[in-house]
Amino acid sequence: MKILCVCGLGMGSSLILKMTVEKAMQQIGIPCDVEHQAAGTMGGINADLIVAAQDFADELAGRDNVVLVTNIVKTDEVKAKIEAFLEKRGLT
Amino acid sequence: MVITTLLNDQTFLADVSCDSWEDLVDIAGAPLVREGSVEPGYLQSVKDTVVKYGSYMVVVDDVALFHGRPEAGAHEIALSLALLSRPVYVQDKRVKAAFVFAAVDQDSHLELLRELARALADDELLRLLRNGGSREDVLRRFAMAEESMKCVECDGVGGPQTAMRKQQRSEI
Repeated sequence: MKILCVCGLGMGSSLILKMTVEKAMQQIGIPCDVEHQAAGTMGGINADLIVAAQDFADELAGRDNVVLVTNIVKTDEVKAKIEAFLEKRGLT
Repeated sequence: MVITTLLNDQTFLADVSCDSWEDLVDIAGAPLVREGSVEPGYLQSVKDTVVKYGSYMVVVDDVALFHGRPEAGAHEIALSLALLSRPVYVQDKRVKAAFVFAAVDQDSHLELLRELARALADDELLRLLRNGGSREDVLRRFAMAEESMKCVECDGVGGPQTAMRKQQRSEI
């Protein structure tokens, strides 16, 4: 599956988040391709899942494939939220 | 090795006192301007980004990771760290320690961020950052985080156990 991590400039927290998401997905055991990008430049991007910090809720409003996290370095939180998303989607 | 190389006498600021997060960006970023790593405009880009998107650069409780657009005047990968004697706030998020980092593109600072991510998951280091730990103690803790990254098995990712779990999964 394709996962996109988003932050303001696409080079700081989204890159850290990408590492956390990769770690979480490895633990979940689903192969995936994780990219990172700036919130303003993601218009045409097609990802199965978008992961971002809480602050980007407005920026990502209207999408149904978004997981928002409060701590981008905590694998446990990111993993739990992605698992909940996958379960809702029947992807586990 | 990246963090402990970049944080030197000039770029590690202890006991910083300031009135706002904007002041903090200027003070914490000043060593990078002085060293010629970034132009003053880079610090403005940091502030503009915070104003636009909010407090997300406070990446874990009390710790900010300020950065701006590479094209706003970043010449090389650089990092500074300021520990505050009293906190400032970015919106409702408290900040007691702030990194400013500069990157020249989207990816070349991956190693630096990898180290930072690992370090910011270390409770003892966070305690030092929140409570004005000495440069010596903070750098020792960073060095330990860097050292722990060399060991694949204790990383929790990509080690033998993960490989085994994957194997089992594909068999199911």
